[in-house]
Amino acid sequence: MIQIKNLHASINGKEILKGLNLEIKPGEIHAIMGPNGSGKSTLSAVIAGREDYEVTAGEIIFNGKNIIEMSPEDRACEGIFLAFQYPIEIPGVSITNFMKTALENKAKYLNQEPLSAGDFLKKMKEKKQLVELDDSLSKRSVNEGFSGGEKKRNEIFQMAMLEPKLSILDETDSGLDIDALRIVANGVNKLKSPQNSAIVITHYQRLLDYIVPDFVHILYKGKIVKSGTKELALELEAKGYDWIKAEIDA
Amino acid sequence: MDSLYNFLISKKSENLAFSSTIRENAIETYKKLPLPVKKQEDWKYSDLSNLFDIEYNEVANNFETNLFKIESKNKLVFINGCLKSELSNFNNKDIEIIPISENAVATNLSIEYINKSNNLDNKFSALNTAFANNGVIIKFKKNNALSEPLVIEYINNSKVATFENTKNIIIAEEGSVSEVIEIHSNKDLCMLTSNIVTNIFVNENASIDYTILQTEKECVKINSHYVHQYKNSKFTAHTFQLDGNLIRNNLIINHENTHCETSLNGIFFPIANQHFDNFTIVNHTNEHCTTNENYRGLANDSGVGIFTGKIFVAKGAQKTLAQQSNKNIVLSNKAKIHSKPQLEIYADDVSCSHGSTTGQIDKDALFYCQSRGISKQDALKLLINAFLVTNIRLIKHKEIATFVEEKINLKLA
Ligand SMILES: Nc1ncnc2c1ncn2[C@@H]1O[C@H](COP(=O)(O)OP(=O)(O)OP(=O)(O)O)[C@@H](O)[C@H]1O
Ligand SMILES: [Mg+2]
Repeated sequence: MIQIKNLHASINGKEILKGLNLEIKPGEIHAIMGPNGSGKSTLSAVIAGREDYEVTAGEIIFNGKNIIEMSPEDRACEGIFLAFQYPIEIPGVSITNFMKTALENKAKYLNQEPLSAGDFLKKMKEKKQLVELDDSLSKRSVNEGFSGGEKKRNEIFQMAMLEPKLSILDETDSGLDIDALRIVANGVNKLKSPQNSAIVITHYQRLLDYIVPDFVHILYKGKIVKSGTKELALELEAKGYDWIKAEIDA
Repeated sequence: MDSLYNFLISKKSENLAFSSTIRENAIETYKKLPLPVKKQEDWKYSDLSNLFDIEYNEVANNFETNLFKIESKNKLVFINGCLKSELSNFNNKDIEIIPISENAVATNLSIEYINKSNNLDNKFSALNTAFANNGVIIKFKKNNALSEPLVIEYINNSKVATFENTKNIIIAEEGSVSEVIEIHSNKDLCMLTSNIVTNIFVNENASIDYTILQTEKECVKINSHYVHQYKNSKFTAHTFQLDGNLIRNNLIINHENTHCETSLNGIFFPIANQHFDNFTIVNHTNEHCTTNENYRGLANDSGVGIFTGKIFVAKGAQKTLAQQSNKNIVLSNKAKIHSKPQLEIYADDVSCSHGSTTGQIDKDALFYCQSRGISKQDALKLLINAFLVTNIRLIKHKEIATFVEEKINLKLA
């Protein structure tokens, strides 16, 4: 699915990712954990193609293509989806119009016929139900005035609409109440298939009870410093990061 | 004197709008008024002094088709500043139209209206008062609702440098309800400088919805509207500066009595080397009047956009409600937008607010759209359309709203 090799990325001349390696195969779920400021959101943004970051070395191979030079929209159309840690508010653009434009762009990129108006609305309805997104929310402007939890749910709704191959969930669990966490995790699990993969960034083991990862990685100072299975998350929950930091900084 | 003055004085003009007393006074005032240069506060961002030094010539007025048309039974067509009666028509039941001349002005206008129509507040208006020889007096009949909008088309195609003064006077009689759509549009390069002054009198209980749609090639235009509102009247303006070369719009509103409602809605979008200036004044001199002013500006390439919004609330104008907002997005490093809101309030029992922001496109929002597969172009359109949506929604005519949206999307591409 995706291979990241020796990735170095910086912003405003400051290097954040410092030789990061990661490989994800189809159907796998990888959790990434790590202290605040270690570069998790930076990695997500660099994979999604945010142009403020400069990739100074390394490569990202997505389904056989090096995507470093690819625009964010082309990456999205190729099947990468980022659920933002802090979703953006877009006043004046309804969720319906936003999703319609997104799906039309994607269809065009893939040389497909766009959905008919009827099919589009049917799909909207189906996916709203999947994440139990309130009908009244979908008529409003994208994320405008949404509560923290509503914004996260809206991210997963968009993911369901776009049916990506690789989903990156950047702290989608933060800000969710216990019920919402279950709903969002269920949504993610329902979209899971042997062809699709996910990167789940989180600070809490709790989410990983619902979305069970195949691998857990620890990102620290711009590198993956430790990888393991789901037990590593339990160990972190119990011991914190100090032992890792001590090991690495030594 | 300057070459513009020399050109106008030497031109053989029939049907001058005003009496020789008014005109001579206007010429004297013109000579004393300062040139519109940067150090004049009201012309700070639009130095138009070079327009006075051009060698102008007379032009033949031939027919030309318009870029954008609105079908209506009521239509006035001006070609290079001159009314073409063979292209114009109107419904007598609703409207009375009288070609302007000294005699027409004297017999149809009260002293108050004549005094308010011979504008002298800047060099261009003084020139218009002195030399206007084209235009009409338009009357919307008492207690009558206009069945179709009055469309005023200004089409310019002069291939020689020339200068035209056009004067229209609109009188909305008591209780009349009307809609006016001014369309400035021409396909070809044009060397005309038009100096149009429109005086609008909105009488008691009357209302006018007034659209100014500017979408033309390479034109220089000084387009002034002096509006006088009487008791309980309503005046709504929609100004769209979408294409042109150098445009200065003066929109000056005076509340002559209480309970007037004014809405000023505007969008301007200069690109390339376009220079679009919006100069607005609302004089609140009476109680219980309301102003809502909302302008949105965009600028790309080396375009320059200007918004000046003066709202004066006089000492006696209690219970005034005035709201002004100007938001701008600059799309390139070289483009500029100058925003000059100015509220001066001398009454104490009023509610007034204003806000002005000029920024760049929200990069986070742009990336958010792109991360959903929306191309940068489409994302830009989505965000700009959202930025303009409240202004677009105020447009009554669907065809105009569509035209404005499409034109803006085209300019974004
Ligand atoms: N525009 C910027 N300019 C300078 N430094 C930046 C910029 N953006 C991010 N950084 C820095 O990059 C580092 C990594 O940030 P990032 O958001 O990737 O961390 P994170 O691992 O996602 O943290 P958290 O767990 O708090 O979400 C931080 O030290 C941050 O301050
Ligand atoms: Mg983060």
